[in-house]
Parts: sequence; C-alpha cells; structure tokens
Amino acid sequence: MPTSTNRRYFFLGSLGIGSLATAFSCSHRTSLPLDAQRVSIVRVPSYSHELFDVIRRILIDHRVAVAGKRILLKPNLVEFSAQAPINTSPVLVSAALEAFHSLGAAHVTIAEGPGHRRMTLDMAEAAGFFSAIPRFEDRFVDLNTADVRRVALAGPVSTLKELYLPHTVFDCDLLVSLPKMKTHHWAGATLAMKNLFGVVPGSVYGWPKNILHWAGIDESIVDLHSLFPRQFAIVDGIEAMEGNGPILGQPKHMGILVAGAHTPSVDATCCQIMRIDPAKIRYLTLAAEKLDWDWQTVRQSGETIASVSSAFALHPDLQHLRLK
Amino acid sequence: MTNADELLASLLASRNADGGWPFQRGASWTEPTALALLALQSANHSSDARPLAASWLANQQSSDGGWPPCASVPTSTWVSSLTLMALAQERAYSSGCPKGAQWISSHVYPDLPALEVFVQRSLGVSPSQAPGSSPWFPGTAGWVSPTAFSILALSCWSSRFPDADLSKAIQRAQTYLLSRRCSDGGWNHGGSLQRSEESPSYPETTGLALLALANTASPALDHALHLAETYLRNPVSPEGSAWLLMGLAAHGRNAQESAKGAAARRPTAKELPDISGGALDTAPVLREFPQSQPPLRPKTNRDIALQLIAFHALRGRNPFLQPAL
Repeated sequence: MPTSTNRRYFFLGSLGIGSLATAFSCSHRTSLPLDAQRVSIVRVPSYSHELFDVIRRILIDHRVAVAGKRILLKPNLVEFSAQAPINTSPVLVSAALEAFHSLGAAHVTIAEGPGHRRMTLDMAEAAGFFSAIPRFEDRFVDLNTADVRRVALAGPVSTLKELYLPHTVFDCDLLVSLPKMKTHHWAGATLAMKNLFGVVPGSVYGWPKNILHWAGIDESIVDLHSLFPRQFAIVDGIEAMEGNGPILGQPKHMGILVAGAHTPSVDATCCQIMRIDPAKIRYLTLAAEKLDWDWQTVRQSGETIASVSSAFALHPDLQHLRLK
Repeated sequence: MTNADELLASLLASRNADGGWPFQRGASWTEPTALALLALQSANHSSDARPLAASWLANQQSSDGGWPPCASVPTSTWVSSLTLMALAQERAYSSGCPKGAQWISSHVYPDLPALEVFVQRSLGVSPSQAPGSSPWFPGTAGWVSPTAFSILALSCWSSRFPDADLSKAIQRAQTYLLSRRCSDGGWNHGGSLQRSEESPSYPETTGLALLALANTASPALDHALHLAETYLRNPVSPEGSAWLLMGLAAHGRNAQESAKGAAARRPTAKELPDISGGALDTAPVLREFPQSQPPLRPKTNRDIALQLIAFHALRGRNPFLQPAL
C-alpha cells in the first residue's frame, strides 16, 4: 500500500478546516453554506495505486452520499496525443471507479462525448482506458451517440432555450466531473464546469459542438452547470497542461488533485493554483452572478493554494488573465 | 466466410425491430441507418432489411425536406446528405429526394456581400458561416465533414438530375474544402488554426475530404494523397481507415495495396504512444495496452457499415460516388 506521506498532507488539511470554514465570518456575499463550497487540495505525485485510497478519503471527507447511488463519472477525453496530457488519466478514472464501488455505489457508469473527433472508443482505447478499466466497453456510454431527450433551460445565461441531452446524464444520482487541469485558448481555463461540454451530443449538434460557441462559450458553461444540481468534481492536476490548451499546450507536472462538491469553487481554486485570476474568467463571474456565489469565500482543505500554486504559461493573447 | 460476410452478418444482427439501426444500442438513428443501407446497397444485399431501412428513413423526413438525426429531435441536420444518398438508390422510397436535395443545397452557405468580405478581411477575421461550407446543425458555422457530405449528396443527385444551382453549390463547397487544408496537407474538423498555432489533420477527415474532392484536379491534392497513404500505413481507427481507403481509391491510388500493408502491420512496443505523461510509475499493464486488443476492431454499427462500404468501394462499388437512380 502507499506510504503515509500523502495521507499526512491530506489529513493535516482536512482536520477541522471544513468546520472552521463554516464558522468563518467574512464580508463577501454568498448564499451557500461555506462548507458546501469547501475544496480539497491533495498532493499526489504520480498516477499510482495510491489514487484509490486518496479518492476514497476525499469522498468520505466530503460526506458524499454514495451508498446505493447511481454514479456517472465524466472524464475529459478530447483527442489522443503521445506528447501532451490532453485527457484525464485512465488510471485516475479507474481509481475513482473503484473508490465509488468500495463505498457502496449501486452502479458506476463512465461517460464522455468528445468534441472534435467521432471515434470515441478508439480514442479511449489509444488513451489506455480499455487496459486500465476491466470491461470498459460495458461500463462506458458514448454521450455523442446515446439516446437523447429535450431539456428546457430555465433562465438561461446564454441564448440557448433548450438542448437535447443524453438520458444517461440525467439517469444518475451524482454526476462526477473528472476534468484535466488545463489552460484553454478561449475560456482561459478548462476545468470541472467546462468539462460538461462533453455531455452535449455530437450526433445532434456536431463535432465540434458549435451551437455552444454560438450561444456563448462562457454562458453555455454556466447553463450546463445549472442543469446538474448534484455534482462532485475531482480535477486531474497530476500531469496538467499549460500554454495553448486544451489540445496544443505543453505538459506541466503539478502532482495534485483538486476536489469538491461545488464545481465553481473547485474551478476558482484551480485557477488560483494556476495563477489565473478567477475574477477574470468570464464563466466564473457569470456563475457568481447567477448562483449568488463569491469565489473569495471559498475555503481550501489539505494543501493551501500557496503551497501548490505554480504559474501556468498563458497564450500571449490571454496574459491579462494572470493573477497579480 | 470472408471479412465482408462477417461484417454484413454483424450489421444485420444489430438492427432494431423498427428497421433502423442504433449507433450501438438503443433507439434507431438516421446516421447509422443511412450508413447501414448504403452498406447493404454496396454489398448487393437483397433481404427485407433493405426496404425496411429505406422505409424507416423515408418516414423520418421532415416537412422542410431534410432529415433529423433521430425521431426525438425535430430539427433537420447534416444527416440529410447521407439519407439522400441512401434513398436515391431505392426507387420505391426516393420520392422525397428532390426536396431533400433542395434542403441540402440551401444549407451550403452562400457567398458574402462584397462589403462584408472587405470588413472581415480588414478585421483579420474569417467568416464563421464561410461561403461554400455546410454546418452540422442549422445556423451554426460550416465545417469540413458536413461540407464533404453535402458535396457527395449533391453530386449524387445532380449527376442524375443536372441543375446549375446545384453545380454552383458543389463548386463553392469544394473551394471551401480546399481552403481548409491544414499545413500538413490534410484536413481536421475544420479549425486549422487555434490561436495562431497550426492544428494537425486527422486521418478520417482527410480521407472523407479526398473522397468529396474526387473529381477535382488540384496540385494541392498531391500532398494530401501522400499524407493519406502515410496515415493508412499507421491506422488508428476503423473509421479513419475506411475513409482513407475510399478517398485514395477515388483518386486512382492503389488503396488496396496500402490496406494490405496496414492490415499486416501491428505497432511495436517502441511505437506505442507514451500515455504516462512522464509520471506513470506503477501501471506496467498500460504500457502494453495495444497488444491486448486487436487493432481496428469495429466497435459501433457505424464502424461496421463504413468498413463494409470501403470493402466494396475498393471493388468498384462505392455508394458515395453512385449517381441517383
């Protein structure tokens, strides 16, 4: 079994900080209980068997209701490149699958709908998912080609009024976003919230899912988020991507997982870790308005942001996003 | 039993009771059903699967002349092109094709007014609804694949029912495709520049674009054809190989020889992609993943249909290049 080094990091942070955060009083506005937006930062140096234990402890620490629940794991599978960490590691997805099973989940499904290319299963095979996860094809749903239903958007921020989305993403009790920590050449960063673009089916809207671009990328991120009230996010920040992400960027070793139930808070924490100003990420400012939430009220447990942060290289056009 | 027989048996076994096909499982969708019907046509298959599939497709046609992606989505989309090609070969079910051809033609974006072109050039932006391109979904930007399917469908229809407007639409679409090549000579989804960095092409879109440019003479295609042959020697997906084989064959290249080379070849350990990102320390099983799976196994009904179509295309029966009946 793994050494206790990382567990120690984890427990040092998690011991009581959540409840301290709840008691913390500040002037920033938010309608959320502070513990509900607590974010865990955990050091994990590599994609090892230790991940199962780490993820299991995160879920317990956040009191995620798992027993008897139907869980949907939504990794980020965009394209395959031998040179760049574009996708969520299959080792991490496998560890999450086992962790949810070990906590009594009734059913765990893995689902994704890549945005550029149609050969979802071939990309998953090339990225190592077939080998890392036994019976992968039985557990996996291609969200690009699954059966869909009409979903009306109530009070949308974007120009979208409705979307046709896969039954799969609604026939679960908890949607677990498992994104890769990456910069994004349009949105600034692609994390737990942007990862939901993958639930929009290409077989209806195409590759890329251009309707979201036309409706406003940032606005669509917020609208998709609002469709899924029961989420949990675990961001793969072990091998991250900087520069011209989400596809053409460069690898950046961070050695961390970032997790929490409130995905805007998870994303705001990730941005600070990446030395990107959350106040300049438009989808986060839109989320703050819509959700009556303030990223400055978010509290972290485990590692501090300062102890793990490292400036991600940003595209020359996005230098204004840098956190001062 | 040949590989084609196995593919055909597998395809027939996976159809739904309503006569259509799902992508993998579930309800029937227009795209896999149209591809399955094209595959049955290319195989000269004559069971009741063919009229049932044609009937299912004909019944899906919308009042606007196009076809929606599935029964639960009311909007006509790019799948209209595939469906037109499939039904154009089924005389008893082709009555909706003229209206279908009009729908497809009306979704090839027109030329922009001169003033708009001037303004966009001055601002250094390229139009999202580029002239000659077709969208996946109405009202959004044009992309390589739906444009290629528009060309194939309109060519199929206009070769039987010549029409000056259709010919112009085909020309504009082919010009768009040629303008969207990546710097490596091939095509990706259509975004060749991402924040000023060149994006690489994909095998599947390169093969499809070459097929759609079958009757086009351009020196630019030499580079693309060479790239397609290179891609075919290093196959990454059944879909990619199928489009590459058809694209090369459409330009008179000996795709069969390339295919033989590809089928006989398996990647060596040194050629396997490094999925570790430099930090994978305890997953040796992952390093051996391609050996544990047969390469290019078709995984969806779409894969199976495309492989079957490519098989027969190499023997002179490419349903994407057939004139309407």
